[in-house]
Amino acid sequence: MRACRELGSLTYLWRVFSSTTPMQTTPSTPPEEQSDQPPVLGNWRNVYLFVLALHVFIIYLFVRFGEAYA
Amino acid sequence: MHLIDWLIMGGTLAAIVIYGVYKTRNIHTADAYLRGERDLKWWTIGLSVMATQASAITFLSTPGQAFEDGMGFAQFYFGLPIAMVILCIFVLPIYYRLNVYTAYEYLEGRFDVRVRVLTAILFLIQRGLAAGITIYAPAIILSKILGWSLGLTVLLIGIVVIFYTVVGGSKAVSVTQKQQMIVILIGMAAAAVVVIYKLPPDIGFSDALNLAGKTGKLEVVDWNFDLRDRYNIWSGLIGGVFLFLSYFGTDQSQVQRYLSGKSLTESRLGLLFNGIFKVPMQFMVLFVGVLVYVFFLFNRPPVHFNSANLETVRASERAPDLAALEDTYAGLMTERENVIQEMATELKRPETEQNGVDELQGRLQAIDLRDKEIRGNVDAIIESVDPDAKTVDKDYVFITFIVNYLPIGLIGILLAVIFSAAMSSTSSELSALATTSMVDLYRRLYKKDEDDAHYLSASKWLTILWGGIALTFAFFADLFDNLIQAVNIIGSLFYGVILGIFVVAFLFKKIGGRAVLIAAIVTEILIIATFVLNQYGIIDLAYLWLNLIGCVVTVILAALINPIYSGNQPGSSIETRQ
Repeated sequence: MRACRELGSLTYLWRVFSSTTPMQTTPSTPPEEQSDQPPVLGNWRNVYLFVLALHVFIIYLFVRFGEAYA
Repeated sequence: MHLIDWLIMGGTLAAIVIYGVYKTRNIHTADAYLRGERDLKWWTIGLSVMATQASAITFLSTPGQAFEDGMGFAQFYFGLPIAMVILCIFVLPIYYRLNVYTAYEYLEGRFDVRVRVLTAILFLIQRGLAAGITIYAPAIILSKILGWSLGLTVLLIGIVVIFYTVVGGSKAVSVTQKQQMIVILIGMAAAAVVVIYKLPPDIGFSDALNLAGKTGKLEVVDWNFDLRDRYNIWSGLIGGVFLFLSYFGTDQSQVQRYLSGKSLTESRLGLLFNGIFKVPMQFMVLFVGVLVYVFFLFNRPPVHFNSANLETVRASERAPDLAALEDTYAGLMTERENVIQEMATELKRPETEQNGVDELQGRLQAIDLRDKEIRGNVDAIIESVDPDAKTVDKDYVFITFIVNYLPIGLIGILLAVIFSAAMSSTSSELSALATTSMVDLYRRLYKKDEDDAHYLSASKWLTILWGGIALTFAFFADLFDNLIQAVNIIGSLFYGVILGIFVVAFLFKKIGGRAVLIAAIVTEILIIATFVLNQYGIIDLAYLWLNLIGCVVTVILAALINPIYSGNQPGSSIETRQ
């Protein structure tokens, strides 16, 4: 049961990923981190989604590339 | 090798080393030596991270891998961008907040000193072994080209890297890696252009792609789920994510790179830069290997790419047997060239008018079977003459092409590429090994209250010590069949457990140090036992899965064991370090 409760903390993953601001694990965050904003796309979640979407697109291109010359 | 090639290669490498030493002439504290001056921008971090991972092995073995098996190896990197995103979300902010020197420092605050030391030792073992291979790989090239002894070549390469790493520490690693990566990218792009230029006049780029496709070399993605298959999309995405989470998140040679960033933002962008460009870069390196394969469809390849092995046989009583096989092989290659010419002509027609491509493919497959049979017979002769000889010749394909077919000048650039790659990854490794030994073992366990000059001096001596260990291992590296796989296999033996420890640390806050310590030791024994059973053919499992198994088993065991100890040892948390 204890192990199951531990696995429950996986919801932590989703909470962090779905938030638009950096996850803060302590109440007192240093100023450096508070000003941690990406130079483009508004927030880090958008930057991460862009990187992942680009990766899916690259894999798609690889698939099409292989099919085109098979 | 021509004098111009020597000048280009030597000048490029010397310029990079001199630049690195010059830029680090003011490093006078242990902190600056071990962490650089923490002023790097994202593009330097990104290039530095890529240069650390891309060793000479990448540029020797990977084209050979594509030459033999096609583009499928690209799938190995499919988990990398996902791992970069996960690290940016969960790991980087914590490392920055705690202001750590090493990844393992964090584990003491989260668990206890035993877990920190165990993880640091696991890292030192696997990275110390891998550092030997990264020195050994370019040594093969020089010994092949110049006829030097392999041992002397290993020694010379190692000493140059040790020199500038000892002088400038982590900062020297970073400032040289940017230049090295630029040389690498320019060199590989030039090689791709030249190999296309070297194809017959009537064979264009698209013809080359068509031929490579028809011979099965351009299939990047394999959708079949098979645990025994080393490279498919599932092992790449699932096993690869675990491998790269562990490598980039817990391997000090990488952690040290991005912790040198000016800010958390710069470090995040540096890792994401790697996430975006790494897969296309590996695709390009593999693609160069496929182009070399097409080149050898029109230019007769040697029956065995390790020319030193052939020379050994030619000097023995089995020379007539080899000559007979070479004659048969020459006939077979003539036949293959004719089929390839027919196929190239056929493929130039519109698709609806193509006739007999399937039949030509069938003939090519039959030729390939006979080709493999002849090569197998050559291997057998080599082994009969020298039982210790290494007959797998994948790693010699690209260097054979460079030395024998590239124009003067470009040979020097390509050799500079390979040496740059070797120097960049080896220097990262030596710096990380020294930092971990210093911070997690020496300063933590033995000498806690010495002055800064003492730690600076000890760090330099530790760099020399690890350089010596890596050199020693490099002397034995030729025992492995394929170098790039050897590095990844060694990594997979330890990375899963190390990652499991960090996963527990980051995500399972109630689990304490004693539980994770026992879980890690038991799992490491299980992983090594699994690997041994695999080696003896008792089970059949691709090595990438060891990362996943090591991580998952460590987490589950720690969760199961934890209740036994939770009464007298509550799990601490990172907040205790604030």
